[in-house]
Amino acid sequence: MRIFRPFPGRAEEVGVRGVGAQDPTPVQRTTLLVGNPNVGKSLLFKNLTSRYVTVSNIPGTTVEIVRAKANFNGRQIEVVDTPGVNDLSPRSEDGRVTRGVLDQYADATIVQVADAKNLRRALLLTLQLSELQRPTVLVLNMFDELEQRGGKIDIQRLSEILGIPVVATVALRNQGTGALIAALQHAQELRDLNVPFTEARTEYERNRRRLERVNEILAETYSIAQPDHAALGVRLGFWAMHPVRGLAFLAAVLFAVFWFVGLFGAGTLVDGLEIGVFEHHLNPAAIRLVDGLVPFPHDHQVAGVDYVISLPATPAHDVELGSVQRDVIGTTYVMADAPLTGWDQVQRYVHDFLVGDYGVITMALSYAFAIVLPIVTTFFLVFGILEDSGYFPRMAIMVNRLFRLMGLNGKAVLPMVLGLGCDTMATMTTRILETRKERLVTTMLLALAVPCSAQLGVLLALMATLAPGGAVVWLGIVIGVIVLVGWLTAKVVGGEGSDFILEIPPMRRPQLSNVLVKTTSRLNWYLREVIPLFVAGTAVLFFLDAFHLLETIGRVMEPLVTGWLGLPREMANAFLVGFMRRDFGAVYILDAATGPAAVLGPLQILVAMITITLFMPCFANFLMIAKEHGMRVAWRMAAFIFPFAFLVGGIVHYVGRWLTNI
Amino acid sequence: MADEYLTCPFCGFEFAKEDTLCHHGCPLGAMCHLMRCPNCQYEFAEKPQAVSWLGGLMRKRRKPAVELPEDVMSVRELRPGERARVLCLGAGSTDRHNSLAVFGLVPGAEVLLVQHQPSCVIWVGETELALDPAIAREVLVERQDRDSVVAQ
Repeated sequence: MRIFRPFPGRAEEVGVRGVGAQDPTPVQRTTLLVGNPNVGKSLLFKNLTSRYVTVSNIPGTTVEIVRAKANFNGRQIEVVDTPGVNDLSPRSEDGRVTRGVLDQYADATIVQVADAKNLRRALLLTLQLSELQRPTVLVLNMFDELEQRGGKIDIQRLSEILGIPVVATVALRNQGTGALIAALQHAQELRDLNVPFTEARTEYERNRRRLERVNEILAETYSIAQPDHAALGVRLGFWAMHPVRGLAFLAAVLFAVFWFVGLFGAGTLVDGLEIGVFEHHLNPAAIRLVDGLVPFPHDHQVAGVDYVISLPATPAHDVELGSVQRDVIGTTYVMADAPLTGWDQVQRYVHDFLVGDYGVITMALSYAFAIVLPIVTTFFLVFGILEDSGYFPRMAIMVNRLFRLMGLNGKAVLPMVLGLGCDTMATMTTRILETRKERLVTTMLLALAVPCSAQLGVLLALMATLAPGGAVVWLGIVIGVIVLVGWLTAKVVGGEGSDFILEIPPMRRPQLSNVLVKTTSRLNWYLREVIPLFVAGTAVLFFLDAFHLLETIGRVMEPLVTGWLGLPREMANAFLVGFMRRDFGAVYILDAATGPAAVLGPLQILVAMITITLFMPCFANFLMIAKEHGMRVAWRMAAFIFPFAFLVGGIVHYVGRWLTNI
Repeated sequence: MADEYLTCPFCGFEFAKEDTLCHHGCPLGAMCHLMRCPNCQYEFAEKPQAVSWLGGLMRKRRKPAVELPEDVMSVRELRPGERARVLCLGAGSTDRHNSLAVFGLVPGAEVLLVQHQPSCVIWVGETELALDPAIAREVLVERQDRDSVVAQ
């Protein structure tokens, strides 16, 4: 699958025309999927091409144009998926990207995907498409949901009126895909539907005329019984946005996420992988292997390591299921008495690079696989479930007022929540926001104060070492910073916000297979992104340590770290790697707070936690900001974020000290 | 605006707002909110301003500038479960009107109010739509029959 940005402007990208000398028959044309948001275009795309793109129950998930080759009737056809649009009319901002794709593939067959339950809005789009005079097929997707609601569409009559093939499908269960492929051969230009455009000057007036014509078509083809609103999904959907029950619902959802990701993922699973797998088995095996490959005289120290298998009950109580104790070798070793030769010295560097304190295997890979992987896996799993259930737009309703303070509206909650998974990915989805001001404010808040799942997991583990009050203080400060900086950024950036008009999809039971596929594809993306950075980060640390630069940097940062933040000098390392990835820095803090040589007190943990939370998430995030908003914006944000993080950390340190001295 | 008329509270003279005597060249300019009657030279405030913010708080809702017919009201005044027919989308840019129109919210459409808090939620046909309260206040509707349908 190739994903490309709209308007690459390269001739060879355009369609499959010109491959042979013969005239393109309809089946050879590129197929463009066009339709309203959240009607199942991406799912249909998957059925047509057997390629996976992220499918979710949120309008506006497809922000990139996705295309793939498919085999229809024995011929290779290119299928292109487009972002959902409600309005294709020439001057609307809404359809800009899709219109660009339509222009680019000037001879493509258009497959308009419609939500059968919502024929009115689909036909508005059909009428706009008819003005393009292209071969078109209309797909009525989610036909089962229409029938469940007692709706009927006269497909035959609709096809006659429009003059194009009309196909009913249920993309979720892959029904009707064959009929659609067959219908592609019969794609026709839409009949002229005689919309009376007299005296319609603005787009709004033109759309009103179109809607009048749509109502006439609906009267002939569509009927629905009085909706019966008793279904559980509707009830749940209603509670989820109720002013009181909605808050309870929100709290329950947050607690469930916290339990599954923070306690089960970051506790049980991390323990199992970090101690049960890496410290008990993989690290000793790797150390022995490396010792065999690059021998130099030294002895690794053996220590007993306890692995307690437990399930979390409450944040403070675990249910112990069993424990395993093993005597294993670790990264620390003592040198033999004999002095090292030059060759031994080289071998020792290679050894330390692989399995030393800053070793690629013992640090980078075990951090990435044992700590970060289980946390992001559990997060993406819950996120996928929530996403498919259709809860997030209801959350937007709940937070709209708070977000208005920051010049945003409720729609910005979607990128922000996605940021709890991965800030880099979320920065990309800020494109769904309408104005530059909203995109900049959201990008800023993501980069500053929304912890990603990797970091969140580590932070939750850190919070467990503090009294419950510590977690509340942390949360209060982070939310305070979000509101304050959001408000300030909105003031600095200026410009217009946008209207809060949001479609709410129905609550649906998430499909396990879709959630699993989505989780795997996100994990795949994540690991490919995170592991090279972890290895690079560890390598930098290793070389700094080998050439004793770590101490020098520690000395340079000492006034900041020990004087201003009141932390031990070694913590400079945490902030140093935090520049590269803040979750990596957080792991470092966790190690200093709970590891074998714990050096931090409660106030110090809180100060370090807050400082590292407010760091920029990672280098990839910086690059993504530069890609979306330009280098200047990225540098400016970095120049604000890092000093601001230290500023807030220092304030917490001094206020904390003053409070504890009272 | 030539069609805004004022009445002098002192002599009862009616005059267009444009014709107030001190309209041009006064150094107070935009800072001055006083009107001067062209007939008797009496100076008066155009409309009594709510000086006390407390008064602003006490007053529940600003009265609409235009007197609406009995059955016509804004979406904000509908009760949950009530159906209504949209009459006009009110003030606001045609861009906003268009973004409402693409969801099917145009004059003539039937809406069903679900809730006001924390954001206004309505059904338009088969689309469930959340609106900022400020937008909902602009949309004028005519109430239909009162049977409540939504699952409460």
